[in-house]
Amino acid sequence: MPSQLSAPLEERSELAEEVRAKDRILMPMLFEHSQTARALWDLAEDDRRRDVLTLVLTDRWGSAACDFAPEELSNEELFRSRVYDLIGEMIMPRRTGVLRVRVELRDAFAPVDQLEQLRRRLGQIQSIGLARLRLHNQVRFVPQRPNHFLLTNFAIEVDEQFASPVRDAVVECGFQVREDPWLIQREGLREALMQLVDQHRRDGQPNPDFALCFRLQDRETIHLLEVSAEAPELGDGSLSGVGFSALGVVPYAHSIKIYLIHANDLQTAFRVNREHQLFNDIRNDNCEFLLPDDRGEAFRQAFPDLQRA
Amino acid sequence: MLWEKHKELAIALRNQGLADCLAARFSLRTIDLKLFGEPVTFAHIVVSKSQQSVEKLTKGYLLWQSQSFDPTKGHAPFTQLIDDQLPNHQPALSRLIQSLNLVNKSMVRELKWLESLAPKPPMVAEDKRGNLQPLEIIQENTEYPYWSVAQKSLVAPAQGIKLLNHGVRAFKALRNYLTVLGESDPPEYGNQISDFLKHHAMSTEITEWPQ
Repeated sequence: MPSQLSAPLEERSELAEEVRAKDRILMPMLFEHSQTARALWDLAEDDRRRDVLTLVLTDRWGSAACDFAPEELSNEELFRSRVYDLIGEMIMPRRTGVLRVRVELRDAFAPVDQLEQLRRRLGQIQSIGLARLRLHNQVRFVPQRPNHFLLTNFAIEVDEQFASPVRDAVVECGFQVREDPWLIQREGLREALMQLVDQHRRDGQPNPDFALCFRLQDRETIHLLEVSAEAPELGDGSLSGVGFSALGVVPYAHSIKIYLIHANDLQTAFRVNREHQLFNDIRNDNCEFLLPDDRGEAFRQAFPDLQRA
Repeated sequence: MLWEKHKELAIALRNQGLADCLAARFSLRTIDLKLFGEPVTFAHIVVSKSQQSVEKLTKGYLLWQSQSFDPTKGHAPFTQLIDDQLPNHQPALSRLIQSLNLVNKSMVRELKWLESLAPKPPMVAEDKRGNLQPLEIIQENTEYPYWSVAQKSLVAPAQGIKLLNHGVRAFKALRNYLTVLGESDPPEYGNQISDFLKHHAMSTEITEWPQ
């Protein structure tokens, strides 16, 4: 099914033709994610009387809309990127204020049926379909114990209001919730990291504009992102950490992984790899902001896109 | 030039780099050998294999990230950003160097020292190449006879490169670098370096023979 055009847009035949031509890209992308989705284009003017095209996507799960300048249609890569954003928003609408919580399980050997019992029990939680439940797990088969699975770093991620019933389900099924503190919560660690970042500012290294920790649930490694205008710009969207022993640098941690990146590369990385743990953690407010020490306010202002699903 | 299956080539480079590391460790030992009455050591092998290991691991790291990186060119990536490479590879190495400096400023310095011992022709100005050249211009290296400033004579690396002065220092530089790469992204490249370090003794105790 082609996209629909509003009457004002149909009246502008040249622009309408250009919009229709975009169906070649838009509709396959849309149907890949939702067979029932529909697309509607509208035309309006901004306060400087310039044309603004609005694309609305709807399906039975929700809807999402965004504006395009007509010239944006000619950049195929940009257009694809915007449509992906929009599809993401349609499937999983932005819910400001809804935080995600990870309920972590202690590592364990679990009988096959115990794991199945947990899956069933999670499915019985009221309205669990709205929890956006996501399993993070490493379940391994161990030949020496053929009736068991080895669970390591197993976590169940849900919207905050479902965390409590999920915890109950975990305990009822005989698993133990992991309660040991995250590294960042341990005494003196945040201060040591602040010192490390401050040292980089002072001793001629790329001066960080922003510094934050993510993957906070990692009990061994500190993941430290430093965004610096003095870092080389790669333009490839890679987000690679370089790891070091944390001995003598920060307490309690086994290693520290530094992700040094230019601000433009961070934006590129978000476009090409938005499922990276960093962006999940930013979206879910699951980061520790070190520089500036303002709970992430300046970072969110500088990178508003990164909070989008 | 683009390499097909560049990640496979990167892994093969990494593995050869690790084999060089084992060769370096195996040579890091005291020996009782003489050449025309003069004692010799394997220290020059430790240094050259350490340097080659660093070179291959670094080239593998860059090749993993970009299939247009050409690992056949250049031997000292930390000292010269490898002549003849496409300009887009320089930022990747710059970022690695900056990241290394963030926690351990001596690491890049030590890697550059290691690279300085790789053999290279002496620098002679073009208009002076027809002249007789003094032996003093042959710099210390691990492969060919060079002029020793301390001894004021020409020495063979097997005699001039010392186990404690050079060998241990070179191997420590390599070991520290391996430790960093083993903890770094991409995990498909780094994790096996970490496993390698767990399974092989990497002490610099020259009286211990690794099993």
